[in-house]
Amino acid sequence: MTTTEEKSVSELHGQVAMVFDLNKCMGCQTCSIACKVLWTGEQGEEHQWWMTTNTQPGLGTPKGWEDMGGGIKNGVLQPGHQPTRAEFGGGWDFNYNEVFYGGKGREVHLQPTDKGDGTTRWGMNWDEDQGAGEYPNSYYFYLPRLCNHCTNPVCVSACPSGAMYKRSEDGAVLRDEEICQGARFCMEACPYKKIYFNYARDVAQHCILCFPRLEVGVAPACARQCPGRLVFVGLKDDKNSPIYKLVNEWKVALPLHPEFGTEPNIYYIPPLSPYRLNEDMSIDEETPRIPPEYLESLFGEGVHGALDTLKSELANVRSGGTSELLETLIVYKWLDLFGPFTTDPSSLDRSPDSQAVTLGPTRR
Amino acid sequence: MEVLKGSGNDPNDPSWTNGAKAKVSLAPAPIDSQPNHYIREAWANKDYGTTKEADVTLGSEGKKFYIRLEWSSNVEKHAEFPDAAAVFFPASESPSTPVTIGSRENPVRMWQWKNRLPVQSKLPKVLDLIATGPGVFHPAKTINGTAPSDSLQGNATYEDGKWKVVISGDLDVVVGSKKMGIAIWNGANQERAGLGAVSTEWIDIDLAGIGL
Repeated sequence: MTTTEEKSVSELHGQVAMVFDLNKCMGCQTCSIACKVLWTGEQGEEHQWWMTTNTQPGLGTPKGWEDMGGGIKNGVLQPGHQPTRAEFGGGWDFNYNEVFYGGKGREVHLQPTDKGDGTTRWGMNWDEDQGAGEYPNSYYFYLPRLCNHCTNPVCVSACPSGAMYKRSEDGAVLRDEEICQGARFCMEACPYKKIYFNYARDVAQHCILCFPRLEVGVAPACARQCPGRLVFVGLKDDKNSPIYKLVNEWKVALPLHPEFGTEPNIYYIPPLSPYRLNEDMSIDEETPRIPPEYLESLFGEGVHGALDTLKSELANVRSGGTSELLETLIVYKWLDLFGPFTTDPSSLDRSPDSQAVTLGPTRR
Repeated sequence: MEVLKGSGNDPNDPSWTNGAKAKVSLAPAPIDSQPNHYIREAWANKDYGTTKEADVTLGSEGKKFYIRLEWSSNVEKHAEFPDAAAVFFPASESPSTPVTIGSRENPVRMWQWKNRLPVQSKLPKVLDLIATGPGVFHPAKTINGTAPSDSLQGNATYEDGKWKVVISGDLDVVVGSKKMGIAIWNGANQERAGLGAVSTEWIDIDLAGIGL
């Protein structure tokens, strides 16, 4: 990438948005690991997973987050619950010394050390693949989640110290950790419960939309590392981008829990599902296995139209026709996912003397 | 309130008993003064600022000023928020009521002690802040024109349900203000930011005892 191109990306003024195609997500957690390795490897960040993928239906992370309140209703910010360390769980220490060096290797097994604070009874992917329904009509799908970098960020509104802000370059919702006093009203107000608390540093922390990568034209790590080619990145208002078409033209990409009122900028293609099986194992072609009302509870009323569009486009292709929508969702060329953020990070000068923007967690 | 000569950072130093002890009444920072709609709505019907009073004793030695605070608290082991205490000093000669912990027009210099967790051993025990309202606290080092202090210390003991804390800092700040307020946060009740109990009257600091 030339210097001129880098400059043009760093001066972007528009909302960066993402679309996750849930029909392609296989729950491999590569997005979660990519984020974890890049951003949350320091003391106090052990339990933090700014990117998580959970099985739906499920309690997710933090445990039961969908019922914790927050958000906006009729223009009024709603009180919310601040997720506790136990509700996030995870970040465990294990009894390595006892098992490997304590002479008890035949008596004890490797396990998280219980500190009495409840953190060993939940984790970021605790209810993986449990789902719902009865065999043979049991069902589940995966839901990757990160900060929604909302257009109406209630976390910013709830912060007493003014540490939080939504920046104009790319719409990322960020926090000045020098100013954050650890009051955690952001955690209460956020209805998606994607803000963590760093107990070692006494500050809240959350996904930063990989803004140092965006500034040099590199897609966020969760998107670039996804092996399923299911994460689109781009500018929300770029009418030539897949994001714009998926959200505004085809209307197949929907925000999660739009009723929370914060106008998320992370969108989802809802999951299609096989038909239900009758007791005699014949196929009930009238009834999808994932209850439509459940999907409506996640993605709003628009989910029915989105699924109808996806089904009709599939039928069109199956009968020999073509579909620009399906061609887009297939993603023949990997870099087509990333809009203006196609730079290969390995091509950047990251030597200690370079002026390149930091791509990893040396921001402090 | 008179200032004792000496006494230092140890809250259990017997010499503290030589100083004048003031019982300071505290009240919740007003809900209407909380800094944003979210906090005002979420806490409108909840009790906060639950500490009713604190004992205050003042001391000074050299260029240091010591404030000893003592109050009752039920510390809970896994509480999400820490117990905390602060002293604050107005810059204006005629500041408004202390219970709002400063205002945009009349900021106050605040030294806030937090009961740090073991994992927070690298963090300062006392924060040097500029406050412009309940919970509107900014590190002094981020405010243009403010010389941050690097001499703040906090020493605390907790026994028999009582905190005894000494906060110490630069005497110059006190000499420039001659008034102070205090605030206490009950962590087990999720009190933090502007949800503390604050002194209802300014404490006038009499520096004559230390020759000033």
